[in-house]
Amino acid sequence: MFFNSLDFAFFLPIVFLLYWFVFNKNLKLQNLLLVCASYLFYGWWDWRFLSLILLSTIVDYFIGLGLSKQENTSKRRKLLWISILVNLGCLGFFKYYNFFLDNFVEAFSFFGSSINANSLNIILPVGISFYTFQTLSYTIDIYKKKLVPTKDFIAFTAFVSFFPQLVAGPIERATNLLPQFYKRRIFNYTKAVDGMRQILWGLFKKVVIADNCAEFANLIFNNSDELAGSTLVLGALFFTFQIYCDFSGYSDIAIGTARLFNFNLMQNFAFPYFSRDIAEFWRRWHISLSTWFRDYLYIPLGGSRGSNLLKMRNIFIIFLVSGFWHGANWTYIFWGGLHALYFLPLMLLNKNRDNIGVVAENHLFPSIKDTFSMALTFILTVFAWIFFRAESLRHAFSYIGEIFSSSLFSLPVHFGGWKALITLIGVIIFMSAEWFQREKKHALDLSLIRGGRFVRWGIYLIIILVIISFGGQQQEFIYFQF
Amino acid sequence: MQVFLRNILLFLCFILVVFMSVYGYHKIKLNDKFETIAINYSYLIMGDSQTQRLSEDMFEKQTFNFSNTAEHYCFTYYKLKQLFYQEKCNTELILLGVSVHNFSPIYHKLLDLDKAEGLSNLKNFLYYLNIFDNEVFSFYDMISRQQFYQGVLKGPLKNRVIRSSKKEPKKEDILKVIEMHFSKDGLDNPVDNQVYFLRKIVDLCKENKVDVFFISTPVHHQYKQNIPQKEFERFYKIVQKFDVHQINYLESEVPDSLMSDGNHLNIQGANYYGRLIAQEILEN
Repeated sequence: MFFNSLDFAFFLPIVFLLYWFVFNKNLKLQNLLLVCASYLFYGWWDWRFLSLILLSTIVDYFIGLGLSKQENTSKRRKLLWISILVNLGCLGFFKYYNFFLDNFVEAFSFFGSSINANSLNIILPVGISFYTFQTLSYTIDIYKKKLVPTKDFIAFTAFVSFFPQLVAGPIERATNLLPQFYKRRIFNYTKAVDGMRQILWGLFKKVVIADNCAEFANLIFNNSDELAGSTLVLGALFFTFQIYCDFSGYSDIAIGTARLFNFNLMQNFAFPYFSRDIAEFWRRWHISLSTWFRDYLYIPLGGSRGSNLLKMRNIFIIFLVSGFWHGANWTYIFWGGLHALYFLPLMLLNKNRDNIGVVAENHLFPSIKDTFSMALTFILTVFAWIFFRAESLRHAFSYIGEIFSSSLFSLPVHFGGWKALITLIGVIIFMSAEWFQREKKHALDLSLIRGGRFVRWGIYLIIILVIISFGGQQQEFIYFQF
Repeated sequence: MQVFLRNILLFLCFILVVFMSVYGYHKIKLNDKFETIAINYSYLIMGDSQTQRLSEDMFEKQTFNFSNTAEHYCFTYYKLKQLFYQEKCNTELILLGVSVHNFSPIYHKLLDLDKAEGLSNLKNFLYYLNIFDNEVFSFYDMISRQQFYQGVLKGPLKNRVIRSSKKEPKKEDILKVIEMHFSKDGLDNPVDNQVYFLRKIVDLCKENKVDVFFISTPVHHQYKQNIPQKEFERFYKIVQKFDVHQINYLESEVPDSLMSDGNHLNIQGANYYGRLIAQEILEN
């Protein structure tokens, strides 16, 4: 079920009313309702893959209990490895099997020996990369004795399958989300209202900005051989805003929906395109994934301790794995590697924590230095997105080759006329709104706005009218494929 | 909780009121337009983008070009129904565009809300329908589509004569149009609903004692050559079933300089054939 579908528009109010009016007296029943709703939400797409979620839930539930009873270190380690192998095994098979097979075949043929291996027609289960990482965090935290395992199977199942964030995150930590299923939840008016605002803003990002940008980004990337460099730059820019608004829009809807049920999910995006360096960008982009890799991969590898060589190795590992997490394609790995290259100088010069706070805090406009830093970071990010969006590395390099040709200085070809222009104006207005609200959790946080209900309702009405009037052709959320 | 639900309901009512106001405003304005047309114009040119090229000042009597791009006969029918519903209607003659492409598969898609063409038509022609009672779209199917709300906000389609100065179209562009019109795209019975509404238009005009002329404007020779012959045969079979005057230039040899693309006249072509059509009407 898509968040931007009519099905969800019926599903959410029904679950909301049942949750607060029918099952509100009993916490276990409320959790059970969330499990049923989540399984229905996921099964709407393909009920067969519910078995994978159930498998992951059962395995990690019992391994969690086993870890709590077991004091022997080697047996504890074995239990952890079972959890890792089951979870990453499923992920590896469904997501990476064909990639590895094809690359083995190519590698063998490169060395002169050909092997026959047929790719399998495997459907990638939606959200597998997200819920796998979420359940892994549970067993790893128990193994590290940071978390006490739950005996409440329903609460654990609800934690694994919680529908707002099941298919595209934020990837929650058991330490944050699981305890919320144990506590009696009381309706919180302020939180629910702000949740609704965040849902509305997420829809706006997805339907108006991302879906419209997608139309032009697809057109340009799919015909890049025939287009001039200046048009290709526009294509990269359209994709830059498409992927941001698509993914952060989904996260906003997920966080807002969870708030309606009085759950707090972690912030996943914090205005990343206003970052002043790549390190800051990664503290603001897909926060739940980058902190996951930091805590469960980077720090166990040694993090920023040790020699420069070790630091460099760790940085490359975390970025390459992060790239590979996105998909079974060399383009994602290259994208990750490129970000590692961007990041390395900052880390080696010990400047990776220079920009921690909000840019130009308490000021309307940034300083010249901040403007320059933001522009440079943005350009580097846009450049890297070309690899992320391209069909193959060859496509990405030919795209970039054309950008850096003399055709860069020609006028962009007519490829969408006034609609493309309106989309660009829309992006500028959207980014301005984000800039003015960058100190808040989301851009439609109107808690401090003066003028009462009618001003707020007027703003909501305008956004709804814009969503209806300028909504692009419905596109699937990009991160569903990851 | 009660306050939250009350506010949500109030806000939904507020949105509903806004939409109903916009809809009501446009509907009243459209009704005024129908009244003006009914009183002031004797001849109406109706149909899709082919007849949309014809200039109104070619004709002997006050003429209004009421055609719209990609107009299905169903919407022509509902337009006429609203027109004849007016207290005073001076309409004497309907010049209705009828051509081979009107019975092609693309016209079937125009009423299918699971197709982009159908959704676009819902948005464009919404105001010409009675949203609660029409033969093509159910109320619930319509209100569950974003295009319905887009249509409400956009208002009724404006009518304007299209004047194109393009000439001598390229063969590949003509072939693209043919592909767009005649690609079956999994449709089994593409002509039924056009014929059905064409019959209803003719019957409605007869009931209201208004003459109908079927007008077939010329098409480019490449267009004619590349359409399957059976499409022409089917077209002639359909129009012969109607006891209606026909002015047919499909078979005429039109110079490339008068065509803007495969099946549309440019400004010179529209003037030339407009005069011929006006002449034939006078003679009939």
